[in-house]
Amino acid sequence: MKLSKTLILFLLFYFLTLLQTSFLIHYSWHNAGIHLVLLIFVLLLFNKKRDIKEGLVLAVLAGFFIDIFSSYFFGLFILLFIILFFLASYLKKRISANNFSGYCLLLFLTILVYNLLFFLISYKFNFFDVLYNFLAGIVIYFISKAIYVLKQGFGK
Amino acid sequence: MIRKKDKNRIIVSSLVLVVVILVLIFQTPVRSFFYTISEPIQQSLWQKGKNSSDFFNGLFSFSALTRENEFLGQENRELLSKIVEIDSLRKENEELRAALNLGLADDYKIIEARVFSVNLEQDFVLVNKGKQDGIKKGMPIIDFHNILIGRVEQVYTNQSKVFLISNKDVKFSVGIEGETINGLAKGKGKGEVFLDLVPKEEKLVSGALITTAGLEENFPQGLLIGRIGDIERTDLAPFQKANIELLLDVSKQNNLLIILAQ
Repeated sequence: MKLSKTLILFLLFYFLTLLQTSFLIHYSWHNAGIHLVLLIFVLLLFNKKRDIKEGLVLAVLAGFFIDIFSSYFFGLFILLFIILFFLASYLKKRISANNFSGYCLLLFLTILVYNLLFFLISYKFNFFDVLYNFLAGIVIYFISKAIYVLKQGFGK
Repeated sequence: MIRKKDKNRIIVSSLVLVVVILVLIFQTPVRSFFYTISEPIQQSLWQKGKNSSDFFNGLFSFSALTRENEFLGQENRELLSKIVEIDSLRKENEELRAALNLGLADDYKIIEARVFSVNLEQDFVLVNKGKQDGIKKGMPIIDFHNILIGRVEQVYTNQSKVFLISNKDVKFSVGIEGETINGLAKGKGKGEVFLDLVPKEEKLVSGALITTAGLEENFPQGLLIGRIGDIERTDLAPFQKANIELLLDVSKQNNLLIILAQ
């Protein structure tokens, strides 16, 4: 992965973390907040083929900023996102992310696993959190599709 | 002989390793640095988020607001009668305070702080007051109506990390308003708090008001917590438990007060 691309991703995840912790917090529902960093991480992992290096860079950057704005020891979320990346790679080999239903299944499973992994640390599991983030993930999927279509339109 | 590509890999890997180790050693200053540069952006995002969510809430909850208005009207009438009763008690209290030479403003030494970041998963908020403002670990945080929000967990140069009362690491002694019952309030995580260690013989009533008992060094007595929710009582356990329904969503407060000293 090029250094410029890594730098863009660094800034992107930094801004996403700020949005998640300061803006989207006002859209929390029954103590379930939108985990924007996780949802964009999933979108970037599944929207095209990523090699191990790219995937690890994504996981480290996403985890780094969650670690910065966390109360746990540093590195915990980097580790969690690396585990998620390997799991997502395994799932992607079995389920196609090219169609909407496949993407939905992958999105749901990744969010579920993230919450289960977090349960090992916090001993608290909220299924509503999974559902709320799943719905938010679908909205983000359609927004990304719309941006892609617009980009194609301008490119012509 | 090491190839140029391998040499580059070794250099990059070593650099990453050095950065990781440095971040691990200096995690407090690293966090402090990011909080300082992010705070102005987060303050602005916070306000925009609040304004937009207030707008959408207003749009979607018109019928709910009408019902709430009726309910509040009824509650208002009940409260008016209580105000009359409290007014006479207040006068009596003022006379006693004057007699004891105590001023209400001297109750606590406080400082106002603004919230700019919330972590719902881990039940903490970041506020814009830190070491330079005299903040110390363990100081309690309240809102403007004496409702306990949490306590300072980590102090940075200009910011502090505040654990909400729903955080699993937060526990403190509480009492039931108007009763002699004491217990322990414990954070459950994800915005929930429960009451524990109340002897089985004591009679807990749903809806009773819970306040701090003031047995801890930093926590003053009489700060509001919430009301007793579902009560859990079994013959086998020596103590009974109850959910605490918090009086407000502690994670959505803009401005808070940090109690510096009592």
